[in-house]
Amino acid sequence: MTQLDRLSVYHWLNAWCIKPVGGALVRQEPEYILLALMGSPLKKIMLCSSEKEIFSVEEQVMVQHSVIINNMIEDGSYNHEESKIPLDCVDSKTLKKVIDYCTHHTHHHNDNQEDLEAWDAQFLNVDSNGLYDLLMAANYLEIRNLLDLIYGTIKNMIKGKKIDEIRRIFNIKDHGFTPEEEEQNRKEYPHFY
Amino acid sequence: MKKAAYSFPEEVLEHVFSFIVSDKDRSSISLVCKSWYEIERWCRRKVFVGNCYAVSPPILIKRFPELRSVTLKGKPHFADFNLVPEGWGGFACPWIRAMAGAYPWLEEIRLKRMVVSDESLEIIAKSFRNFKVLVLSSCEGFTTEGLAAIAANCRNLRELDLRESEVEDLSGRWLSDFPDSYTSLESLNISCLGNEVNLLALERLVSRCPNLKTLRLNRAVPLDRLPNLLRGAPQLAELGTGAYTSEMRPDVFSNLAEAFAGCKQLKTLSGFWDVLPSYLPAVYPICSQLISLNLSYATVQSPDLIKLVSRCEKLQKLWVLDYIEDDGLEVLAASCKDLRELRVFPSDPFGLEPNVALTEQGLVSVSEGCPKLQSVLYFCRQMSNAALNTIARNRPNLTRFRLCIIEPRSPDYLTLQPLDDGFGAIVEHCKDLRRLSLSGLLTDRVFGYIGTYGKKLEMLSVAFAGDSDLGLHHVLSGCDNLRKLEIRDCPFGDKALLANAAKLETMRSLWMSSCSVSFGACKVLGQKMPRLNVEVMDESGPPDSRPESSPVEKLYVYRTVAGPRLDMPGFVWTMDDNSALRIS
Repeated sequence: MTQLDRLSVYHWLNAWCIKPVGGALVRQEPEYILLALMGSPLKKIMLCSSEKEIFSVEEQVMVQHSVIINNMIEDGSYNHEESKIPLDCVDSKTLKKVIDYCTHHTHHHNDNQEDLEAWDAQFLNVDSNGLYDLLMAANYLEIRNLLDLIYGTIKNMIKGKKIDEIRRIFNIKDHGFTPEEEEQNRKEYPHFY
Repeated sequence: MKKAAYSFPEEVLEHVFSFIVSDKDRSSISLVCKSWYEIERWCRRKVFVGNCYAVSPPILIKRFPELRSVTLKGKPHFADFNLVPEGWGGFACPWIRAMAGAYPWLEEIRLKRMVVSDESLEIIAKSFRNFKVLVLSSCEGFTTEGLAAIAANCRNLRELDLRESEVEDLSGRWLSDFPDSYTSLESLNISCLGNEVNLLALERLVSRCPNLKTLRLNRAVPLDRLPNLLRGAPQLAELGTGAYTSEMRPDVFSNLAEAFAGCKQLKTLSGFWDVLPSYLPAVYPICSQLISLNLSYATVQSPDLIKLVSRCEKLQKLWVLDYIEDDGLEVLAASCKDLRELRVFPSDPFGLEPNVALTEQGLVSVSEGCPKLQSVLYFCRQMSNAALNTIARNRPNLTRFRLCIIEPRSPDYLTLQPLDDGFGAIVEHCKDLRRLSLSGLLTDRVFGYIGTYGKKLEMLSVAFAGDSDLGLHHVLSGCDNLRKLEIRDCPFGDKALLANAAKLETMRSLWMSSCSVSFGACKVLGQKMPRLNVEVMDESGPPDSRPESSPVEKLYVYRTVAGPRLDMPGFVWTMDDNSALRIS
């Protein structure tokens, strides 16, 4: 982490006086933060994807976003010298994206809402397979804001869309209705298709 | 790890579906595929049934086993104009009995134009432990005894709203049946009750419910008790006053003004029965925060209305009598730039001569001055095509336009022509128009415009209009989104109805009274369309006692999955395959 990055994180923490506790962000006294920061240099942790690729990432970044990782660090089951956290259900491509998300949101916390939303929209501009993988990873790692973001996106893939369109987006090839049921549906709700 | 072709797991879909609440979207979800249909029906919590006869309680319960909120509508809209005879139907009891057994965790029941008995209210009171919301809108058939059962038993009740219902008011005691420990009331609307309620009980109830946001009193709550009530609920957002006294008393006035000034959250006002103009200034301290004002019972004249309305710069909704006159509407247009909805009611609808200076000009002014105006209900005695044209061009964002020219078949008063072009301009320019009520002299041409331009129209009300079947045909064949069509006294007959039979299956309902639809055509329609209930109403006797070609008095057609209803009174017949047998 560069000097600039370290300063920006320090500034962010000091300005908001918040510390992540169990995934939630809780107000703390500024002195305590200073002490904590001075006591531990910005540490890195190792995450290991299902393809056995190692990703090094700032501890603070992951602790702020992932309840699972935060718990591991807090209860001491993660040993900084030797350990890596194995994430067998998250592949490298998805893990990299998750880390990107968490890192951006930590460093750019003070950005205005519009810019953050634009970044999020761009971030989620993936196909539905990619979205599925991200959802599974965010769910496993318990990253609340990423989960909410993805759920919101899935909701928008449904809301106000025609049935044929929804089927295409979600890759639903066999709708499972009998031919009579499907015909009846199309007759009763012609504008939905 | 090998990945199968992805599909979101059930819990994920269920969670996503929980954010999707509109009925339309929920229907969409259930049509995408069979597995979504299954997930959706188990997690559906809220259902709206626009016609209680379109489906039956067992069918609803079977499909949606975990509902928390049910809304049902009974009688057709024209019941509001006394066109639906007593005893027609819309009985809530079978629904409430069935839901009592199937949905022990039901929280909300909303009924409109239904017949509700005290027995039903008692069942509600005893069956749903977590019951929170009861709204009875334009309902009838119950007494204050039923209300007593609700008050005594529903510990978690938040909302009790009796808007415009006909309640047999046996005693005002029922309010005392709310136990002293009960404090969760958020909304109470008793404005339709005729007699006095127990005022002391009311005051205690109001002051011990800290979350009370809506309080609509009935006429019988005297003005001098209002300040106390307000002081007990300074957090009120919506207030309906009781009646005002018949004489000005300065002490009452200052008490009232002070109490109103203390209600910093008050945004909606209604009531004002018999209000003396000199009392109106008592609400001046809060005018600048008002967004909704219902003065439809206030028989004050234009100058006093102007003084009040001109102070309400945040007003979004105004209901008022035509005493406001064109002058008042001009001031409204200048002062209330946030206005979204205007309803002007007639003070003397049955008088032969106009009693107020309210013309089409008032509506034109408002359409010019209020850029956010979307919803209009306007009673007047004269209209012109030019005015309608101006209104349409000024306000293409209109979504609801109901014009009631009091005298049927009134032409454009300037040119004496039909008002076809004026209404044509409305449908042409207002591309998002969802609801339209016509009046005045109208030929088949207006229906041609409606069929051509009214693509988003969902509800159309027609009276004393048109020349021939072509009019009806234009509407049924052109209006893609039509859900409700109600027609009275128009020369529409068999041809258009039978030619557009399939369209009726895509609509909620069709009402036709005093038109030219023959009994024979009704029978054909009923036999041809098994998924429609074709109901003929005739109070003068069975329709088959007259020739097949003679017109039926009233026709009500609606789509249903529940088959013909079994609770019809003697003057209603269903036309279906068995109709020949049933009537004879």
